[in-house]
Amino acid sequence: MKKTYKISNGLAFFEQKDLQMLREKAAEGWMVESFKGGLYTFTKSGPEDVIFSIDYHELTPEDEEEYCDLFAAAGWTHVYSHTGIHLFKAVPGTPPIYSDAASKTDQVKRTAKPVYIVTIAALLFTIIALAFMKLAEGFLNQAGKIGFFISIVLFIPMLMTSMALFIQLLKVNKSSKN
Amino acid sequence: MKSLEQLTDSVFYIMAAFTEPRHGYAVMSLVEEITNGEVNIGPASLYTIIKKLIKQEYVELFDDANSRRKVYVLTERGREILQADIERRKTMVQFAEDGLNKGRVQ
Repeated sequence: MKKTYKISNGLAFFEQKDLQMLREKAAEGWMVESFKGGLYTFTKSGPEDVIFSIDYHELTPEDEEEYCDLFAAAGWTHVYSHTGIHLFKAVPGTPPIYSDAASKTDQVKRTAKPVYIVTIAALLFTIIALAFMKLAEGFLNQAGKIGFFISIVLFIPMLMTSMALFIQLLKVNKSSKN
Repeated sequence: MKSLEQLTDSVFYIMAAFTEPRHGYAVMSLVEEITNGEVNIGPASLYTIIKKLIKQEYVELFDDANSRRKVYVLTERGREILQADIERRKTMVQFAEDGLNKGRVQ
């Protein structure tokens, strides 16, 4: 089976861009098959005119069946699920999976919460490591230096993701007020 | 959707549909049908709202041995909340109607 791969633009930043890319690939005859660790895998198929949507929910296998049933009833075919990320496709013109801003806000908040927690944890780690680097001597100083580099490498992308999600939240909040 | 005290239109429609036991997916077609296609509830919104309604204990699982799929129905608390929101909406409509009925002020 012929396969091709593409790296995600980052769902927190460019969800729409990714979904548009999946649509273009499908039109060229490459149907997305899976999405793992920021990498889309496509298999060769006939060209298809379809739109894509993505949703985020931690689901038990039993809940997942019901969840996919709801989407199927609304015309959205399940494509792939992994770590609470669910990808669906539908014919162009199918009504969107989120019909009201309030539940969309809920979704962004739900996605953002663990990201915020990891960001804060990474920040605390960075500060602690920095304190060791500045105040401790010998082994602890070395450990602090290593810890600082590890945590700063984690902290910066997490901070960017947090900010992207926060901006998304402001956007949906604004649209729900209009 | 912090609190459901004042129900959004989507929540209102979904709760109204669960005044009798129904499958989740039946709600979407029912709402579309009674509003002549004007209101469409998306599956992601519906799922999120059902989860929220269960958490708030406004809706519960209805025991239906014949069904493979989950069936939901309003709880007593859910019925009270829906009734209260009907009153709120009635006041709103009454106010607008009274205003219009007075006719145009020249």
